[in-house]
Amino acid sequence: MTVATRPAVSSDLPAIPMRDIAPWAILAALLAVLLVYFVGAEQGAWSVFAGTDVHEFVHDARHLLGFPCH
Amino acid sequence: MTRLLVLGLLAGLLASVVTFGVARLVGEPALDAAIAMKTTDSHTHATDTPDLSDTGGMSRHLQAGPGLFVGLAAVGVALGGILAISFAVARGRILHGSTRATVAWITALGFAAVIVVPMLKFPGNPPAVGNPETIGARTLAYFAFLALSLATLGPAVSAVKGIASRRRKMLIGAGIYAGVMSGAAILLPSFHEVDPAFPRDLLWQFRASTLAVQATLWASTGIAFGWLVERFGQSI
Repeated sequence: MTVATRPAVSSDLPAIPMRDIAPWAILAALLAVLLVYFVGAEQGAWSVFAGTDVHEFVHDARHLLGFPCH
Repeated sequence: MTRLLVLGLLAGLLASVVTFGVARLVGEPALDAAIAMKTTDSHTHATDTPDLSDTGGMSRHLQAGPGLFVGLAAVGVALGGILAISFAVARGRILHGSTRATVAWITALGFAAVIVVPMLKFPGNPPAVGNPETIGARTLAYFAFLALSLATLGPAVSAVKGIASRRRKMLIGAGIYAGVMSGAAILLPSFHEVDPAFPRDLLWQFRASTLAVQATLWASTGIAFGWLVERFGQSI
C-alpha cells in the first residue's frame, strides 16, 4: 500500500488513495445493486427470470427488510 | 484496501446471522399472522385479482428458513462491502475521527438515508396487502426516492465542508437534506392500499418489525466492521 503524502488531520491512519479504491468501489456498487435487486424486486415489478421461484425463495426476507415491492 | 473489503464482507455476513435471529423472533410471527389473514380472505373473495403473494408451491418452512437467510445474507454482505468502501473513502478525507467514530457516522447516515427516510414515505406491506396493479409504479417511485436520498447525501455533506462550527455544520447539512427529501416526498405519489379491514395493530407490528430487522442488520454490520478493523485492519 502506498502511504498518503498529506496526513489527515487528527486521524488515526492516513487516507487511502482514491485510485486504490475506485475499481473496488465500481465493482462493489454494481454487485450490490444486482444483489439487492434480486432480493428486493426480482419477479415483482420486473422479471429477469421467468416464473416466481426467485421471488418465493426470498419472500420472507423481502417482506421483513421492508421492500415495498409486492 | 483488499483486507478492508474482506473485513466488510465478513462483518455483513456476521450481521446477517444476528439479523436472521431477530427476523425469526420479531418478524415471522407478524408475517405468519398476515398470511393467515390472507388465507381466510381468499376463501371469501374467491379469485378476483391475481395473487402475487401466493407461495407458488414453495413451503413456508423453506421461505422462513433458508430463503430468509439467503436473502438477508445477500443484502448483509452487500451492505458490508459498501460500508468498507465508504469507510475507505471517508477516513482521513471526509471524516477525521477514530476508526470507530468514522464507522459509526457512516452507518448512522446510511441507515437514515437508505432505510428510515424511504420507509417513512413508502413503508413495506405484509403479504395480503398491496394492489398488484400498482406494483410497477410503487417499485419505481420507491427506487427513485431511494436514489435521490443517496444523491442528496453527497452534496449535503460537501456543502458544509468549509463551515468551522460543528453544530452549524450539522444543522445546515441536515437542513439541505431534509428540504430536498421533503419536496420529493410531496411530489412523488403515495400509495394507500391497506384494506381498512386489515388489523391495524398487525400492520404496525409488521412495519415495526421491518424497522427492527433493518436496524439490527445495519447496527450489527457497523459494530462488527468497526471491531474487525480495529483488531485486524491496522496494516491497511
